[in-house]
Amino acid sequence: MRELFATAVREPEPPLPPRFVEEVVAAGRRSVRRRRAAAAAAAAVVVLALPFTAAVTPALRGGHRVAPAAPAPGPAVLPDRFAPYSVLTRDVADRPAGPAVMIYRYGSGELVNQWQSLALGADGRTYRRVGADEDRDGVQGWLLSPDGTTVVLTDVSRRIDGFTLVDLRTGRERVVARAAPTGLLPLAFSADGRRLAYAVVDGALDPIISDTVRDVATRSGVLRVLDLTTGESRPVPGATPVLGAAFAPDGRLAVQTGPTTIRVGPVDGPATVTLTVRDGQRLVDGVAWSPDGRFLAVAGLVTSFLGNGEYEVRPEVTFVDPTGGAGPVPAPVEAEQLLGWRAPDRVLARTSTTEPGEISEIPLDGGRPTVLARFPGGSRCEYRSQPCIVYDLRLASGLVPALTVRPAGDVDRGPWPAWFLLVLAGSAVGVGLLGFALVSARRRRPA
Amino acid sequence: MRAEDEDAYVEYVRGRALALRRTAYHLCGDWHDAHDLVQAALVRLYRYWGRARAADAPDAYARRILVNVYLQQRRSWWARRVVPVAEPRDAPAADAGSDGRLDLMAALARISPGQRAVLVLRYWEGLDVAETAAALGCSAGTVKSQTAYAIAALRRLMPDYVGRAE
Repeated sequence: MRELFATAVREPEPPLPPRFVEEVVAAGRRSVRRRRAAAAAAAAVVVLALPFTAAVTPALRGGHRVAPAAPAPGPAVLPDRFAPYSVLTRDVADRPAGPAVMIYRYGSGELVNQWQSLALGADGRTYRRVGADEDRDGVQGWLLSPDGTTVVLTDVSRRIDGFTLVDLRTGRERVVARAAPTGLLPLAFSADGRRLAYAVVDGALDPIISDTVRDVATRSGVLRVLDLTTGESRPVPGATPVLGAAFAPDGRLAVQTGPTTIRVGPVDGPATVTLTVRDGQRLVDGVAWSPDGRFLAVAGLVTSFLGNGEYEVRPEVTFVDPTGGAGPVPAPVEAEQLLGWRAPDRVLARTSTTEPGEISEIPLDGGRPTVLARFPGGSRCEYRSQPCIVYDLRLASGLVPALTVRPAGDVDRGPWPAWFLLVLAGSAVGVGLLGFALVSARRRRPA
Repeated sequence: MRAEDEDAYVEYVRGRALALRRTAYHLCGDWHDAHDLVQAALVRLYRYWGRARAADAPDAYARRILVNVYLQQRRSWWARRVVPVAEPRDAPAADAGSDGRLDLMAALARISPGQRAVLVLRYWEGLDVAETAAALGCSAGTVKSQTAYAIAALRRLMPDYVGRAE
């Protein structure tokens, strides 16, 4: 066989072309560069695709099933700085995250309407949108249950069939206080979260001229209490009209029934005490009572004349003796909104020493307030063209006493939304195709 | 690649390009194709020169690259559709030499690329079974069996001459 091969006829061997070695070396260098470019493109695709894979894998595994979220162990946490606006925050209906320590509306609408209704989880790092609130037309009102598990939603601009309750642990919704379409305004939870005080109005609603449910309730509203465990709703005797309401720790109810009148008494009986406040002061809905029942908080604006025709208007929270007597009460504190009670001698309030404000702990002995958590400043809304505004802020009152504050860390907004994953995947494919096209173009180039 | 490595590569190519092209010619049967084949193999060798240089025998490394490039080209979409020669036949090749000796190159063109590579490496390059297995990236047993199949194929294509040669 070797002889056969050794004697095989073959064509004469041509010489190597001139500069063969140089051309081979040049082609080798190009090959190395192409491979490096391809590797870089592949790495870019991997880097872009990894989050997509990481995000989509659990989504594929779990589909869109909504699993009840376990309550966060230990005391609720407030971050020292709240997360900025993000369109990537998932809806609580898709990705429930358990009880919330706070709900708030956040955004801006100067040029583009970018508003979010957000629930901050009791772990202090989980943010979810309460889409059931965002999707509603009209003017919204809401409350957060003391344990942070339930958000009560309503539309205060029109007659509705009942309140929508959103369970933050499951994302599920249910409608309570079903009745003929009427105006409903949730005002206060009882300390145990079982009862909900709300105003009902039958008058005409016209939000264009500010006749929202709240406005009409101040003229003709009737206060009712709904037992959330039984669904039974009863009117509170004599509680009309309704300017505000708050449950006492012992279950009594304080209801502001006039510009200067607050009635205090049992839920199912006549008032036992009638308090008089200054015109313009309003009972702080929901959280007016101190934990020991010794004080009742009312809020209003105070005007100070500075001389030379100048004056200053400050928001102020004032405390009154709910017994109607002249018992000692703390001095008023300057605060935009009373949010809850840390202890009988300390409150949490929204203050505004900086824009767009912060949550501060204010001692009632005259001590200096301590800022606990700030909202991010700067232009972060409407594609970073406008500052974000915070409003309709509510804390889970039952979580406030044990609340701890920690430095803000990683934020959990839930898995990226499907539209974002599609954009990301499209970008990754685009980068991959571009890299492939570049590499292919270089490869096709003649040596 | 460092300048020192590239100098070594250039020196290797200058010294071995012709021999490698000859092997490529034996594999593909055409000097033009052999030129392309060896150029592609040497470009690939450039990428892996560090590894080849560190190997005991750069020649074996280069030969393996050459055979791989040859086999990959033959397996490619183009090669599968643009068949340069007729399909292998059991009948003897018609293009015998003027002295009655059959054209081995024509016969080799009619057997499979893998079997051709085995024959070329063993009987033209003079490699033993182990070296051929290393060049092809297969086991010694595979080389033996493929050699037997290839010889059987040649015997069908060149019944008189292969019979005599053995």
